[in-house]
Amino acid sequence: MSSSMPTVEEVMQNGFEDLSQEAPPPKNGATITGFVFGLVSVLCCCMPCFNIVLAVVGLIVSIIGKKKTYMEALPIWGICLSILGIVLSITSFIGFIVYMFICYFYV
Amino acid sequence: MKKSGRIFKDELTGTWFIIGLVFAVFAVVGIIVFAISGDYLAFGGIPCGFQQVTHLYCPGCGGTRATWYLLHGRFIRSAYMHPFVPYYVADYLFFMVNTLLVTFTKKLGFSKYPVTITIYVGLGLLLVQWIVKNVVLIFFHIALI
Repeated sequence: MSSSMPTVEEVMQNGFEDLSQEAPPPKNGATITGFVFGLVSVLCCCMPCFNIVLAVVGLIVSIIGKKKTYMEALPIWGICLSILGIVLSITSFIGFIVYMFICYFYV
Repeated sequence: MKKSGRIFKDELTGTWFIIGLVFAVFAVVGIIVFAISGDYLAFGGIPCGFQQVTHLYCPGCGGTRATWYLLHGRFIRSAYMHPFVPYYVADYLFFMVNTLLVTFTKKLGFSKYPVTITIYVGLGLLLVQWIVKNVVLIFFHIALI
């Protein structure tokens, strides 16, 4: 057993490398997905019914991702973009209703 | 029924499944609305506000007609109107059935089904078809739908 045990020099040389190899990479799929959904919801702000679904899903997934990952910026970006998507969705829906009202009664 | 204990490769499978169950409720409501007033909605009943103002297509233009054609069994016409709609319906049905099979059976279903990637592909399809329709409209003056 003593022959297989690493020496101090070997631990000093390889110990940290082995530790870094064994540590699993942090999972951040939810974070990236929340960010992508928030971004697409902002890009698709002119279609409010679809946009609000994307934004709400993006918000949920971003909040889930924020709890799971060590990353700070991306989940916050996802949450901010999703909230912006919800605001744009409501705004565009109100704008569409006002436009239809004007077209119906004044044009 | 007893769970099989198989693990999904995609970490978000559980989240997507719950969102899919919520979506199923809205889908049932949508199908009922389409059964009542689908013809009115699909063919000019409520015009697209974005198209009325800018004379360009919005990312969802053609989606209502694509849903109408899909519900009437005309899949190719539906894919022509808006490829995002039949793609997502197929992906959604496959994913929900596959998740149930993997959860409750030992051998059936694919536990490595990359659902998040298929959702990314769908979103990409949505944006690409929007750009293509508007490019053809602006530069060639051809209204594809």
